[in-house]
Amino acid sequence: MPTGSYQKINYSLRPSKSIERKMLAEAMQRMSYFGRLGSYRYVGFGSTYFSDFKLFHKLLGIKKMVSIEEDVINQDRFKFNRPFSCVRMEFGKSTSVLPKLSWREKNIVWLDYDGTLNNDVLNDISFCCTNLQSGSMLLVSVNAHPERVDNSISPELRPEKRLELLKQRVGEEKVPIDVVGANLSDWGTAEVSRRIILNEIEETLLQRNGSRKSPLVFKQLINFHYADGARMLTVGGVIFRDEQMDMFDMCAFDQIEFVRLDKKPYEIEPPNLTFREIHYIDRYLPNRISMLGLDGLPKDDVEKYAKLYRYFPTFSETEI
Amino acid sequence: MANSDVINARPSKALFIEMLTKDIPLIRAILDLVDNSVDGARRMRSDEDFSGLWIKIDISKNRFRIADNCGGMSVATAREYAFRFGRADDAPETPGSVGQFGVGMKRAFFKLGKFFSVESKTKNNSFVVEVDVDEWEKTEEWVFHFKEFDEKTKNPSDTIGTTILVESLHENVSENFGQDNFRTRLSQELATAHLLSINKGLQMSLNGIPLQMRDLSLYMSKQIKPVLKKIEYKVKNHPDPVDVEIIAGIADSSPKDAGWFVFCNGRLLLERDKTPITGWGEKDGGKIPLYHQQYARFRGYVFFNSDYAELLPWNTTKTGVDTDSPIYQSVRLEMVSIMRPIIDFLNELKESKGENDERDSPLEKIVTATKTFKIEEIDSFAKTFETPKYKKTEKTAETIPIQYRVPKKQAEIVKKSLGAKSWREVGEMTFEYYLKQEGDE
Repeated sequence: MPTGSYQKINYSLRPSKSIERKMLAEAMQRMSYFGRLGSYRYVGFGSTYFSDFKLFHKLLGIKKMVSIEEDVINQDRFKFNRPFSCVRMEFGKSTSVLPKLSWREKNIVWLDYDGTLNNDVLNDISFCCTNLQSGSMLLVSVNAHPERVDNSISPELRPEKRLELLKQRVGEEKVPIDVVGANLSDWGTAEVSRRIILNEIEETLLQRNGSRKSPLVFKQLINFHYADGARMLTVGGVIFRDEQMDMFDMCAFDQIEFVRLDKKPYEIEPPNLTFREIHYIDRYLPNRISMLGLDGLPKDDVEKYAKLYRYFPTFSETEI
Repeated sequence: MANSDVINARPSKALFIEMLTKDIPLIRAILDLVDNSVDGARRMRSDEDFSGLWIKIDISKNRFRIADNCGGMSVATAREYAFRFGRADDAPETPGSVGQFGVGMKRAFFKLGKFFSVESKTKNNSFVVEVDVDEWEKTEEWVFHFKEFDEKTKNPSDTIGTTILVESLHENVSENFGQDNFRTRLSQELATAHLLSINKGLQMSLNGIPLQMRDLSLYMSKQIKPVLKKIEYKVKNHPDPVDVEIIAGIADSSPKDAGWFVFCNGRLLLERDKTPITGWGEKDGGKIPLYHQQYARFRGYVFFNSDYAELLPWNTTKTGVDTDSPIYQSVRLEMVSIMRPIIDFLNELKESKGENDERDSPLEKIVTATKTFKIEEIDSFAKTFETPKYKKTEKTAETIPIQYRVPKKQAEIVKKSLGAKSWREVGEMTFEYYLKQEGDE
């Protein structure tokens, strides 16, 4: 039965999610060195809001779009909410829908799960890494909140229990041998989830490459941590043939401030500010912020805002 | 030579370097090297208390290293036997050993890379062998050379042991060694293959991280008793027998863990086997059905032990049993007859659950309440599997199951309002509620 988070949350109102989407769009724009963006296909989980589909269609000009929807009961509602005619709906679990699609063109795939990392997620990742063409982008979002452990278990045993639960979800053979229960508290679950995801990508590509002359490589670009309620992780990057390294270099992803090539995450922390405050700060951005008089404004929030003002959702963008 | 009746059958070095290595998976090749260290430990401690002994394995993109403090190898052994391809007829017997074919070590070196070194110290022997495989392949002779050796030295006891290093790793080996997932798999396979030795105190680590202990366990209670059968096989022309122990019973329901485990001299050969090799799904005679979900509680452990490793039913890669071995065929019959009552019981257990009612059969209650023990802790075994004697319930005829589907949202509201802990309770409580409101007439 459907338990999708769309029933609880309007995605377009979650500020971190909205910031993330715009940042991802900016990274995607740079992919054009690999191929005309209009020739790409976007595969995502549009839910009923299709916020990602709207943004990527309008901004990037992508016309081939597939939204995978697990909720097979309310098909008509999803079809009704389709924002553009170019969005194709595919109903079913991603694990069974992905293999039904054709994978001949370049793709941008965003596996944006509500739930935590599990074996199905790893299967989807492995499937994508087996089938994505060179010059494609793969993004994965999972809930990475430390697993809630039954209160009846005494606090000192909870880390071990958490590790056991992780092993049950992803399979014991996917949890790196140096990971211990204590690594899973706070943002630790996100860090370990990222490692497991990257291991899956790496392992699949290694097998796919065989001993081919020009092997496919994966370069991580995105490593977002944010909390819209639960702690979330988004990790992703580009898959391409290593002979295309010059194209990858031309994309100059490393000049984007939120791009992260390693385990150090970029934390998306939206500030709490009123619109009057935002408009006031805007006048000092991007390069006069040191001249801003605080006038009672919280310094912390001003700094947060200055970091991501270009992506910060403003009221006028909300759906009416 | 043209008219000679001699036909050339000299082996080429490439056969050993490139062909034999194709027959063995990478992880198994590493296990062969570990087996040699474990054999060292067994030579040192005939009582099999391995505490204080260790084997350290380190892998990275650039090299493979295994070091142990398990006694080392003498210069004479190295000179005459250890580096020979194939076991020499006059090679001294290592009682209860795991290695026996005389291929494992060399095959592993060639599988891993293009350069290897072996450094070993016993109480009064030391030697170092270094081999560049490409150079060696070019030479005609079938020999290696000591880089240094000394048969009359005094080595401090904490330096005794063997260290093997392989460098210039093959590309695919290097790629695998660089992967987290490969290391995790290797760690698991090592821990499983040598779980008996690890449980007896042998410390093994991979990249500094100790391997996890794995237990073999079974349910035991007054009512449920696992089987133990000991068999001594006397073999023609051999002074010592092969000792076989078969232990079987039930444990937690887990399709992943169910099946037979077969060990030879402490080394695991078959893990969770559910195939005809261990007696499942015999076509003719149909003694045991094919594995099925309801048998997920079955566990069986078979231990073969002999001072003469060649009597044991393993294949050369130690990836499974040699099913043609007469001893194995005979033991397999025993395994099937030991399994029969356990399979019958598991069938009975399934039937007792009734058609739609998933839990709570009295038999199921007894089974789930039974405690798990490590097999070395089990003190009361039975000759054949002992099962609870329970009264078949009369109740099943008097009750009927009701099943229906409702929207989840509404069900959740009702569950919360009732304070019910399960969907089953929601059903029972709403039914009771109706009876109370409407009366039972």
